[in-house]
Amino acid sequence: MSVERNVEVDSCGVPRREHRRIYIASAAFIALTFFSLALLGREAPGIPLRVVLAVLPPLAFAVLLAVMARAIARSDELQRQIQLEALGFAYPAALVLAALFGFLQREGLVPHALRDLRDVWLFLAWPYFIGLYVARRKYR
Amino acid sequence: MKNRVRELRTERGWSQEQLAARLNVSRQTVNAVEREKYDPSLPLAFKIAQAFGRPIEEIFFPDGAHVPARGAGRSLLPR
Repeated sequence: MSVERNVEVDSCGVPRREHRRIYIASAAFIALTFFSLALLGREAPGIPLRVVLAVLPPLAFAVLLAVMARAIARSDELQRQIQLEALGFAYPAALVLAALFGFLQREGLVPHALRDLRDVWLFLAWPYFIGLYVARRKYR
Repeated sequence: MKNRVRELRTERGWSQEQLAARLNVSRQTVNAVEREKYDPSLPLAFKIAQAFGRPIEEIFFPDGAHVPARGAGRSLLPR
């Protein structure tokens, strides 16, 4: 029989004791993003340094996501079920949204939804939050 | 799945928070189980049974089964 290890969760179902890790990872991601953008915009560093500066923010973002995945893994079984349902909705919904905007954009019926690839997360984040809201209401 | 978790908890005078702490789950999970909106996993169902000191079949019942009144004999027969 597995042992559940967490007790107190916040309104998002994340164990409160995981908050500190999430805050640190978030701060590191934000700091590294500003640091990279500042250096990349100020001067024209060599290609190796530009690669490093460009890769730093996504790496920090990956660490932040790993910390959040750890927090979810340590949540209790209902919170994990809610996250699964939210993500189960978000992924196909993001694909449908991307296809919808793609076709409409191709016909010139909507302005370009994405300025560049960095905006892709917008398609992924909104369906996740909608899925999370619906799943949490379901078990309220 | 039907259950008698709320009945057994209130019999003991425990709050949802207190039961959640005993089970190491969130209060939301206890609430969802009590309201029969969420069916717990088998390990959690066993922990609930252990917390109440009752066999699991006296707490959880399949859909359509008759849930006996407090103190009555237990039956899994459909109505």
